[in-house]
Amino acid sequence: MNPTHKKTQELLEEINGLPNLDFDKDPEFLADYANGLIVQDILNLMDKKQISQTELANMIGKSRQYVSRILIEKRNFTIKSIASFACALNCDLNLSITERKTAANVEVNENVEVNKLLLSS
Amino acid sequence: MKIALTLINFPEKCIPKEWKIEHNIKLLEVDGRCEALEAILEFNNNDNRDFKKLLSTFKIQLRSKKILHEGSRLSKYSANKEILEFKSNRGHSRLFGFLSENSGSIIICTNGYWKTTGKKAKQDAAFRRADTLRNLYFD
Repeated sequence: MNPTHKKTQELLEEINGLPNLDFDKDPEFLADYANGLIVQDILNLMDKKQISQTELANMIGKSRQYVSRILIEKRNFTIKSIASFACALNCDLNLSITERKTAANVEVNENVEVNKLLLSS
Repeated sequence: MKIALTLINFPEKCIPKEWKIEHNIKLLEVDGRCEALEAILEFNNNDNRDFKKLLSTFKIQLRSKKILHEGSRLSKYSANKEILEFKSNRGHSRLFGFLSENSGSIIICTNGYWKTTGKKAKQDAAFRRADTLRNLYFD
C-alpha cells in the first residue's frame, strides 16, 4: 500500500466530522432531485412508448432543441412545461407538497389514533 | 500476490439508509486504499453544493430499478457499458462504479475525479481505472 494514502478509517472519521449535509433543508438539493426525477420519468416513458425527441417536440409544439435541453437538464422546468409533457405522453401529473414525517408529528398522529380509540370505546 | 478487496459502506451522512430503495451502495477498498472515499472527501472540500448534486443523482438512481438513462447524470464507458460514471448535473463531481447483483443489487463505487473543462484524458483514465477495479472485484 502506498503510505501517502490516508487509511480508510481516517477518511471515514474525517467525513463523519463534517457538518451535516441537511438535505431536507436545502431547496437547491430538492430542486435538483425533483428535476432529475422528472427527466428520468420522461425518458422512461419515451422509451416505453417509442417516442423520439423530435416526435415529442412536435407533440408539445416546441423545437427539438428545446426538448433536448430539457432532457439534458440544461433548461429548467416550469409547472406548465411539465404539464405539457404529461399531456403529450398521456400521463397523469402528480405534484404535491406533503408534511415530512418527523418524530414530533408521528407522535401527534399516534395521539390522534389514541383519541379516536377513546372516543369510539 | 494476493490483493485484499473490501466493500465498505457509503458514509450514511452522505447517503441516508432510506434512500436505498432498489439498490444498496458500497465503496470498494483495495489493499487498504479506498479511492472512491478519497474522491468523496475531495468533492466535499472543493464544493459542497456540487457534491450534493452528485448525491441527488445517487438518490434518483437508488430508487430506480433500472440504471439511469445516459445524459447529464450518467455516462457509460464506451469500451465496457457496465462501467458507470455518476455525475453532478452541470457540475464537476464524478464517481465511477458498476452494478453487482451477486447478493442483492449493489452499486459498487470504485474511484472518482473532479472534472475540469477540456480534460477528456482524465475521464478516459478514470473509466479505465474503474474497469480495472471491476475486473479485480469479479476475478
